[in-house]
Amino acid sequence: MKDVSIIVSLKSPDPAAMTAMSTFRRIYPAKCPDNLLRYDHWRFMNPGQGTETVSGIVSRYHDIVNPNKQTWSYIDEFNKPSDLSDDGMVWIDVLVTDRIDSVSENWTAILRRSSCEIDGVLCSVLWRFGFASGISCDDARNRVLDLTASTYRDHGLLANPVSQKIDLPAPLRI
Amino acid sequence: MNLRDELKEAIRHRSLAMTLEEAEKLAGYVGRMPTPLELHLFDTMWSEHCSYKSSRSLLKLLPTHAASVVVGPGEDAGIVKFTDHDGYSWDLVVAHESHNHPSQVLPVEGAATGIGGIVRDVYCMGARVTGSLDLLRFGDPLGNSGEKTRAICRGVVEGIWKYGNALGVPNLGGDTRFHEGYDDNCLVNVVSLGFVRHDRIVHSFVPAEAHEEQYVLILVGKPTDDTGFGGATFASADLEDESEKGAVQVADPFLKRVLSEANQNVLDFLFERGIKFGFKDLGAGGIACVTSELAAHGNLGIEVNLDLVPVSIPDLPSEVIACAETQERYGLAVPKRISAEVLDIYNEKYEMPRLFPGAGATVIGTFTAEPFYRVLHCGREVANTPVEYITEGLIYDRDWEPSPTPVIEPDFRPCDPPEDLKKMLLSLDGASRSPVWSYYDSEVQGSTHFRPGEADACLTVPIPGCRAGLAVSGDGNPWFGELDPFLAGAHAVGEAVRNVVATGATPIAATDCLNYGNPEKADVFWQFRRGVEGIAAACMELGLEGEDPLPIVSGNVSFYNQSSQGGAIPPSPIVAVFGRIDDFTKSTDISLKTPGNLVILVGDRMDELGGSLYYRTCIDHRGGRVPAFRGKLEREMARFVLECCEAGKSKAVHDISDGGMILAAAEMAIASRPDARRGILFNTDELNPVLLYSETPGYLIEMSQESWDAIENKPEFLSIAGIVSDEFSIAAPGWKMDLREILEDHASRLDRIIWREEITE
Amino acid sequence: MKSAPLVAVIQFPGSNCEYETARAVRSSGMDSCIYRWNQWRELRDSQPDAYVLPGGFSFQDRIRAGAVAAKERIMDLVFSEAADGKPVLGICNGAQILVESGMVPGWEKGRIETALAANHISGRSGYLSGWIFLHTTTRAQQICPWLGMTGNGVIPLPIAHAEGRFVFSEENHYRAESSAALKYCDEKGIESSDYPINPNGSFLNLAGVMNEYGNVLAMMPHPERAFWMWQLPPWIPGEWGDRRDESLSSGSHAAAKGPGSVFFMSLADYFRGER
Repeated sequence: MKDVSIIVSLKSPDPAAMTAMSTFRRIYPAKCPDNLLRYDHWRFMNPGQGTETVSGIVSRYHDIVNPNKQTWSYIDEFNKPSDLSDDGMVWIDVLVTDRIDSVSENWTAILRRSSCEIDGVLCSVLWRFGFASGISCDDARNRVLDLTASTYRDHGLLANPVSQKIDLPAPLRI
Repeated sequence: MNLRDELKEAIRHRSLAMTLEEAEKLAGYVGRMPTPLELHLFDTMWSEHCSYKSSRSLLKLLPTHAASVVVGPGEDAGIVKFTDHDGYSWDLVVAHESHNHPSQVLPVEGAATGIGGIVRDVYCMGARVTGSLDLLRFGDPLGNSGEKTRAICRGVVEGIWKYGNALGVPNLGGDTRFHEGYDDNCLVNVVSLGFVRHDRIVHSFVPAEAHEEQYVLILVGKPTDDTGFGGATFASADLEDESEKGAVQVADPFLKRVLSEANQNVLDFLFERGIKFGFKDLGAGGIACVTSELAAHGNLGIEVNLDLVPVSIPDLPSEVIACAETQERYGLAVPKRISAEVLDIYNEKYEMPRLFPGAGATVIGTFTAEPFYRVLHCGREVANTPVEYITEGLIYDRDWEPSPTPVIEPDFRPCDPPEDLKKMLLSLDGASRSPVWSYYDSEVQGSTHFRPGEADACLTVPIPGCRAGLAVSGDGNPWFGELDPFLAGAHAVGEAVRNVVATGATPIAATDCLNYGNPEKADVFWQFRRGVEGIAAACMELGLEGEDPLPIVSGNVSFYNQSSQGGAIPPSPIVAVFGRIDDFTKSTDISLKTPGNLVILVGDRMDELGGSLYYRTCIDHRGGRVPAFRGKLEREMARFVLECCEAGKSKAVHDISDGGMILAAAEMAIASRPDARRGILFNTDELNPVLLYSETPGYLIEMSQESWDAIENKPEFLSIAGIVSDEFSIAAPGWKMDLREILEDHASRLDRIIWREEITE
Repeated sequence: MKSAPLVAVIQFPGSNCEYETARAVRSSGMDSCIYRWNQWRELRDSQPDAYVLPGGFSFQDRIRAGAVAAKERIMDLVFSEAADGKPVLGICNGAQILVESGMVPGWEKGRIETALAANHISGRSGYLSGWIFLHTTTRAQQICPWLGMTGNGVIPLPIAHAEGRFVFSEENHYRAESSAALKYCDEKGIESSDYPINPNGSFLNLAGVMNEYGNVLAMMPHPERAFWMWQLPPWIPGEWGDRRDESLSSGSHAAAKGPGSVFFMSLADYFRGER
């Protein structure tokens, strides 16, 4: 039973990521990351032929990856972690998923209906924070949680914990 | 290599749509081998989509003049006088276009940019956009390409709502039809409308003042990228495979909304200061088209510097920067002396650069007295042509070969009204469209009086404090199209007119979009020709304001809706009609109101059931004899309906089209209040398919006995069909169909087929 | 001393209901002015008596509907004015902004304790537009300046949204009812959590939520789109359908006020009482 996940990003600069960064800069200048990327995250549950099933789905459904403006790649969440990239940047991922999600439910129904060998699909948003070297991974992770969980008006932004789950998956490189 | 070979190679290498002859013509204009930018520029300008080279000579047949027309076809949108209020004169601005090929390939993006493009045409005349319509034609969702068709339908609806709802432009109806002829070529026609004060109409050419003082060109909006490169030529080529995806543009309604607020601010600023300017949106051919047209139509030259164009991708070649079709951009021609203030409104006041990466306003060109179109990039000149050739255009006389469809009528026409009605109500064409409308916001801006489905045409009250109402409807029947291209055109006008008239509004203008296959094929060109003639004939007869015809003030031609396997689409002329009612409180919807009231039939039923819903749904036959177009009669019926409405006699009015009188009756009953259900009891027992199912143009009117008795000199075309009952059924003395049985199915059928994909019944 | 109360309508980039909302305010006998998101100085200087956050797609619903607008500088002002007891109304996207600002339910200052999540309807995702019925809770009628005149009857209003489902965390379920201002019901006033009576799966059938003092109201349906009788659909059942028919036959259709007017008239009435 192995899930296969992919991440999808815009070819041009992501407006949501840019807005999030400029908001962080203005409101939380001390905690603001040095880089922020945003991806659509799709988790395909137990695809029959593994990556082959998934790539088939991706080429068939342009709502998942729109070839006009998006690119995609696999993401392996069970790889052994390394938070650090070659240039010393510390990269921390955070996954935001709606607790109840019609989009996931609908896609699951569509894919199963069209006889895809799949148990279901779960849609999330993946935010990737980049910090310049000099910060410990633990500190970086705490900052990410702070910036993500919107618990007060002046605290957090990326997820509302009342309706959304926040996960810090094992950090990794694409 | 000689010039000819060089041109051939360039056409091949750059995937240009132009012919070798056209390329040679261009080389003649510039006196040398044209630069890549020049090739792409003219490739766009001379594409079928932009130049109408195949259709222009025939389009002259359409009546475009009437006393009320302010701006006819030729600019981005058409303008007619609407009403006067509070000392100002208000004009209606309308535009109508297609975005067929992109929607077939990438339905969400294609439909979204279709809406984005059409609203721009209305904005750039200085108007506030107050509505849009979508006229959609899809393949058979239950046929061989059913899965693809359903996905395209879902995608198109999604593209339309994602764009229109975010932009804040209400959807005012349209129609959705299914026919296997569209399996490989869906149609997404879009209409947009708005209002402008007569003294604030904006034009799309640099003003005469630019001869006296220095004018500059400001580019505002999204940073330029490479999307849609080749979009106009893409629309002019047969759809073959999916490699065309890169040519579909990317829409952004958020940016468009901010831009439209900022634009309005800028326009107000310019008008208040009495500054003359030119304003145009960027569509096909991008910067190159807009800059050259702004200049050429104002009889000036222009020098554009591509180094100044904000881009979101580095190192783009000149022709891509100049010709890419990045969405959400406008060009503004203003005097140099105030350009800084204009830039400030966009960049500071509305903070465009903060809101969208790379967006903003920049000066990218200066207008020149010498009538040349010059473009510079990286210090080099990359284009230099006399400006007059850019807008000169080409005209071709295409061959046409009549290929009429033989008239074959069925031998046997069984008539079982309850069963037939049930089948029609649950057919793809007869089922409720409310699943589609549930995705659209039809009420933003707070002006909507009748939403889609409540009346034959949506009705808005667009000018606060003023009672004038605007009604709009779009129509075009592909089943008529495949049988008789002339009548398809005529009835597209006729049905749209009837729908507007049914609400009590007088038609004041029309727009059209002519969708056909490959015009280089003689039979297709004949279909197109006949369609134009049909529309022209109907417009000449259906002018209801004075002696003028109903003017066509804007329109579009979409050719090459054809694929190698599937052939051409059925001839699909689609027409939108706009009407005005002076007092919207008198407008009439379709819902039955009072038991005991009469149901009046306007328009005798004739034996002409070719292309009817009854034939194809109940006896699986296409038929051959399409309803004739009787212009004078239709005009008289329309006058009668309008008079009844004006006098307050009509309690409900519904036009008769698909499914004939019986389906119209059912729809009027279904529209009644859920806590006050009504039906119709016909007064004749005759099991006559002509009476019940004929789609001869006409109307049903609910009217009290007193009102009926008070009509003097009743016209010949009137008769009493029955009365309104307090039972939720359609009945006659000998039969009854209980509408409660099918109500839920009728409402959810399209949802179940298209969205839930419950296709095994 | 102003002659009529001033209600500020805040326009964010992407708002799209601001003009008709301002008109609804004016048609209720109050003054209205639209302020851009970066005109917080002008807003502060004009000293409005109340604030409305209109519907639309502020900031393109980036990250989450209402999340970015909630952090804008102009909201600092609205936040502190609300804390001072000024009436604040958020409609649709405006409601989402109030939720993301922690201004409702407002049990702890600035804490975000509810969410407006995506509609949850079986077999359907995405936008939903249509008409619903709602009624006001007793407590809301007593303390909310926007609801004083709503009475016990059923109010038909249009909805048009993709994220309209009020959500509370488990530990707050016990006190969610205290913030309830408006609830979905059928035309007879009977509540149900079934679609279409509850159009989006909202907890407790909530259509509108208020703060403890009642001066801040976040509602998903659009009162400005039902301000006039002529904006009501012809098929509306029940009392309002009858009133619509009545206004047509009596010739008062053009000027008759519709169900949505009561939200704005309540505010006008509240100001009259305050003076």
